[in-house]
Amino acid sequence: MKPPEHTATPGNDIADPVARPDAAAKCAGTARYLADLAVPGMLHARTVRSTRPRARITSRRLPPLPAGFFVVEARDIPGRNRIRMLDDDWPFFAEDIVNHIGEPILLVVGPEAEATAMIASRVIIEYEDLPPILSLDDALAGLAPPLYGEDNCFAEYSFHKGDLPQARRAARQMVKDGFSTGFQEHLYLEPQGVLAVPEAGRLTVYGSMQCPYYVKKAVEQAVGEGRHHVRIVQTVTGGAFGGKEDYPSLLAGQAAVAALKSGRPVRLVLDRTEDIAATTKRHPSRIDFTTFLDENDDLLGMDVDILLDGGAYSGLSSVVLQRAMFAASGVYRVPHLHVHGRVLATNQVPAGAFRGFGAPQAFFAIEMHLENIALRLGLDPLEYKLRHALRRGDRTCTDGLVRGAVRLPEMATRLCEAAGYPAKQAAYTAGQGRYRRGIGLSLCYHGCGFTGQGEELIQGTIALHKRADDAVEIRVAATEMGQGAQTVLPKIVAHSLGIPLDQIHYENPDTDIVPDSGPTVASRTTMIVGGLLREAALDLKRHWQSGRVMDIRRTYHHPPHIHWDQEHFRGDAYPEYAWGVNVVEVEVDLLTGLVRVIKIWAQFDVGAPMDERTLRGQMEGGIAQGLGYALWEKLEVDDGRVQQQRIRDYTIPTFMDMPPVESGSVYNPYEFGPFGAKGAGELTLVGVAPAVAAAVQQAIGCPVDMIPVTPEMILRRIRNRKHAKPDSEIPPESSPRSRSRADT
Amino acid sequence: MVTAFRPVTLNEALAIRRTHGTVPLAGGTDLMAAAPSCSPGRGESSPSIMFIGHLTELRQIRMEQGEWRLGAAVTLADILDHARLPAPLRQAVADMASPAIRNVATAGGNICNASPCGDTLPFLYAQAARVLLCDSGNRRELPIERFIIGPGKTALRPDELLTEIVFPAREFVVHRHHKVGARRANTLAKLSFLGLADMDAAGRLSDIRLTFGSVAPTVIRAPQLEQRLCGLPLTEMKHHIDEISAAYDGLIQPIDDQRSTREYRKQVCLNLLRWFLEELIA
Ligand SMILES: Cc1cc2nc3c(=O)[nH]c(=O)nc-3n(C[C@H](O)[C@H](O)[C@H](O)COP(=O)(O)OP(=O)(O)OC[C@H]3O[C@@H](n4cnc5c(N)ncnc54)[C@H](O)[C@@H]3O)c2cc1C
Repeated sequence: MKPPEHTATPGNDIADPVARPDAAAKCAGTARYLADLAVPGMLHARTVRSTRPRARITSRRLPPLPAGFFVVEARDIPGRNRIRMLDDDWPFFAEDIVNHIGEPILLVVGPEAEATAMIASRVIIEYEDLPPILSLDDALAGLAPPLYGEDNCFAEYSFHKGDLPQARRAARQMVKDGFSTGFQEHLYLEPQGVLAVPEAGRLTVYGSMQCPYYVKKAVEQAVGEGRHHVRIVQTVTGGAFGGKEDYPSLLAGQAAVAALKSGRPVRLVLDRTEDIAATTKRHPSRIDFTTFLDENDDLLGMDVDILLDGGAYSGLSSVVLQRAMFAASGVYRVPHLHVHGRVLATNQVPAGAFRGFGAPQAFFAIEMHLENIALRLGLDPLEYKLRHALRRGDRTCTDGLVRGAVRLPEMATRLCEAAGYPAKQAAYTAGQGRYRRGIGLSLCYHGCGFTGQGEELIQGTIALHKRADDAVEIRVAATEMGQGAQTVLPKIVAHSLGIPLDQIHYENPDTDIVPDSGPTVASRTTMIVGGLLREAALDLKRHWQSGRVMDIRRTYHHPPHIHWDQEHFRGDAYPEYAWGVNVVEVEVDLLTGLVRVIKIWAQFDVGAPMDERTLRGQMEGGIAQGLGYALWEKLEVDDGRVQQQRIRDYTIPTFMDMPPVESGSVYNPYEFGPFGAKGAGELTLVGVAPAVAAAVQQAIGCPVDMIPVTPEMILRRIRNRKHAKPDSEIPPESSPRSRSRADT
Repeated sequence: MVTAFRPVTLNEALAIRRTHGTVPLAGGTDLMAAAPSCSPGRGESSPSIMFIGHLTELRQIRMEQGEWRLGAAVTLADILDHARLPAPLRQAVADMASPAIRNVATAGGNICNASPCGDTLPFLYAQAARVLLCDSGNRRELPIERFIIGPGKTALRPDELLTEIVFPAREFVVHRHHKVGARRANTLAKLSFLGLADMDAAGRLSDIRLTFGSVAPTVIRAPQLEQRLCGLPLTEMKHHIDEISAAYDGLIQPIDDQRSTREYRKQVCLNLLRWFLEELIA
């Protein structure tokens, strides 16, 4: 659906789709992924992993190693055995203690992949078990010694707005609600892999990744700062979804150390089971609300408590928590607010970055909570939500200013009309028979760019290099990982310069060539990196001299009106927001608990699309991944072990599961984004789960307070309701939830 | 390195089987998925394999003397394409895997793999199918429930191949197949239910077959319980539903695993059974 306002860009519209430059090779199978790369003399590495959730290693017994085979472990690391991240607590290799099943202990390296795997399978590690922390409940009970610091807490924050105690006193009603969400696995098609190549005085690491400069810093820390010139080159990356933001740093450090030890190139490619069992996941969450309503039933105050399960190492957890907290009150105006959040450590696979980065958990919770309040009050959820939705000029939860126009009301109204929401909302509540329908709605936003002080800390820098033949090279660290950066960024430059697209070149980043424009995360690539490219291109255009080599650099700074106080979490947590509305209709088979998604309607405000088809890819892909998160993607960790270890066991949706999707965008340009663009990559996933859950809740007439909403859970809820008192209705007080298998 | 044989005839295949043992590979969709890192033969003991999927003798679909005879290497896609084969079989196959897998996966492979969640098995049990087993000198026939001994275990001898699957060409007026999986394609059943029934002119149940897949080491079918229902006027069925359901409740003993729970599997089996019986009445 192309809104009429699009003619705002005169002539050849930037939104008109162009052929993806990366598509032909990927479709033809000629794209060379990391596992396709082989260089002369290359060795293969295979990881020996912990089989215990928490233990002291008492011995490592190696089988006899044939000539040319060797191991690499913590003591081989010339630099620091800590991955460079926000907080350096995560070792490349376990030293004497292991903290999760799947944690790398050592690499077996050798000239032949199969023999290497065979030897690795014969390494015997002996352990002395330590009391593990196997769940959030364990972590809360605090019986085992802490994994991290003294309180076992990777991060804890809180912030206030208004005067919540005063709201509590003035309130007419109080509503409590609690929600929980599970792990999610990225399941990018290409498993993680790196190839480290040592050369005299120089070390190059090739890899499937999102953030070449994160990897560079991690490798430098592993091999010893300043001792080698470290160069990172991104290879064709077959999907990432956040999973290649943090973990490639670990793999690259390991392979680099192995390459230095042997003086030979070393390739480390995970197989699918290793990738599922050992790499990062989306943080499981528990979110509790105590909300106060005034005499008009309006939102007066809200007390939100967020608990995230961080797994064994802190990784990026503190920022994930911040994003979750800044989404805690959703798109709503809440005058009096208190948000408290913690990430606890557990002896499970580490949680990390995943498309949405804390926001999907928070939006699932706040949207279900608002839905429940509206239903309890006997009001239409759409009306109730819109009544409280932020408008231009309002203050955000952190007291930032909503500067852009908020087009949620018209987006939601139009969408609900298309979906027949009001009539279905009314009709489906009284469903009969075996198959029951339900319809659900969600409103969401996604803060574009890094959370809080991130953009200011990173100060992303880009370069344009004009060659003598007047072709222009884009030099950024932003990676193409399937999302379309190589389609969109060249269009921004070509349109700014007014030259044909085929005159723009944008290769996979090589840190010897590109400056650090920051990681490819946080819905920042088009808006922040693309914005810098547009400025640089306009500059280049002004000074353009045909036939001359020219270089232009630009470094990001927030627009001057953006203020942020990191200590008190006060001000503009993001420079700008992208908005979304989802409506989902489902049908539940009460005999089996199976949910069929009948249709999804979605509208997004991403400022201005830079390529309609690429945006469609983000919309449909984000919705598919959001549906998986809501319904099918069950990942259980029992006694520290990931239960779904194979691609067939972890059920992402297939084409057969995908409903028709009717999606579109509204034009609402952001002054500081290139051609008005904001972020689009994460937004499309964020609001799906609550719309699905609200629809299922209506269909079955029982509360849905956790995702994924499995058929097992649906049948259990229905049965429990039959046994419960007849007056129990939506929404009940939050019930204690345990993450045991029986509850999923 | 893996040694692979590619015989040209069934006889040649049986001779190779006799002298070398070897693992028969029909479509390879179970073998490949089971092998470490998805390459059969990788690992310590690299057994040899023998391709049999191409053998024309094993690719026939015939009707003879009122019985269907499916060659062991008939693919799932062949079954779907063959419009005269019984609808419940074709429906079970349509719910299996995905088009690419169905193009190579075979009927014989699904049986010999003997998985509790093999999706053609409930139909074969319901139809009292037999399997034809050949070695280079002899052939023997076994009822399906005697061929499949337990998860991954069959009565196949090391020198035999399964060559044909035989079942009566008998259609039922009522047939209901329900595969319950985590998603709609490429998924193994959490449980499955197949009900077949016929009525006579007097409104009595003349034949009924009830099978449950994925809820026990092998398919559950209880002919003695079915017998008790035969001859029952449909009008009286409602008085028996509780009793039938209780009887099957005792038989269905599923497990908890990463795919689902014992409780769910059992409850849904019983729900689907009840629904089937209630639908018969209606
Ligand atoms: C993605 C995917 C999805 C799947 N989905 C389903 C599903 O929905 N439902 C389901 O039931 N299965 C499913 N399967 C499993 C598999 O496809 C089926 O079991 C299939 O029918 C096996 O046939 P095949 O020819 O590929 O067997 P193969 O892998 O070739 O063989 C399986 C076993 O049988 C033996 N064997 C094969 N033929 C003979 C013979 N003639 N004589 C003696 N031994 C023999 C082999 O030695 C091996 O032990 C799926 C598999 C995959 C990979």
